[in-house]
Amino acid sequence: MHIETTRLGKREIVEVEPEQVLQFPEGLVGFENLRPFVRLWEDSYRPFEWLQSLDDADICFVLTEPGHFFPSYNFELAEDDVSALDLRDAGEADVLVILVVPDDPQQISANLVAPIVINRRTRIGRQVILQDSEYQIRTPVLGGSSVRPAVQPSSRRLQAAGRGRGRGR
Amino acid sequence: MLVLTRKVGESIIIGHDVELMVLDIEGDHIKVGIKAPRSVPIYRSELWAEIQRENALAANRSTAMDVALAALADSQVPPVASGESARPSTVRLRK
Repeated sequence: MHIETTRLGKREIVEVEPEQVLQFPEGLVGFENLRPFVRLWEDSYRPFEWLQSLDDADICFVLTEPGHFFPSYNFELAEDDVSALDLRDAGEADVLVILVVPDDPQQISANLVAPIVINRRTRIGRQVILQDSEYQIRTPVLGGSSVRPAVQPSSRRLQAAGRGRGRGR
Repeated sequence: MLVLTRKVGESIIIGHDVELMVLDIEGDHIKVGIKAPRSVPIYRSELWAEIQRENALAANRSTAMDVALAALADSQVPPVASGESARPSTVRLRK
């Protein structure tokens, strides 16, 4: 199937397999009516990836696995989240955090309070809310370190995520 | 909106299994106790609103985003491990 994405600010068409489609039964906070999403990634942008709505091409989130930037990040999933996601064990869960990406890469922040959890077995996704955690909604991804000047990506191969164990390689 | 007046120690039942009790009042602070099944999520509404705002910001991508992301992807990130080993430590399930 072909889907439309605006992951980089302009429209493009991407082919995804139907079994790569994830369902978010409650949408995301503020986007409750958007249910089907697909994960997209491209080698030159790793460890970043995108969560693209299938209902609205304009709605696309930038995500990353938190371990890349926040190695000690961890949390306990509440009972209602576990049952909503139909998780049998933690190994079934992919955890991702949503990034806000302004023009200046120094200002990129991650929402560690409301991560995205995806059950790879059932393909159900959910934005969970870690109430009373010590984490911040706007956590700088760069701890004040400097970044090399921006480089345009060379490879343009885009992949849809989510078959089998997830990662394409 | 339904408006009810309650005194300290009095409560309100919502549905069959949620009970809201006024525990204490001090000035403009009201301490509320909530009895609900653990399967019912309860959030402070301002936290919900903050996350809503942040999601809206996240969905509103800047035009230079690809440059910003590519700069980061290129320079800051340690080699990606398979990820399999990192997963179990990120999330624990409460059952």
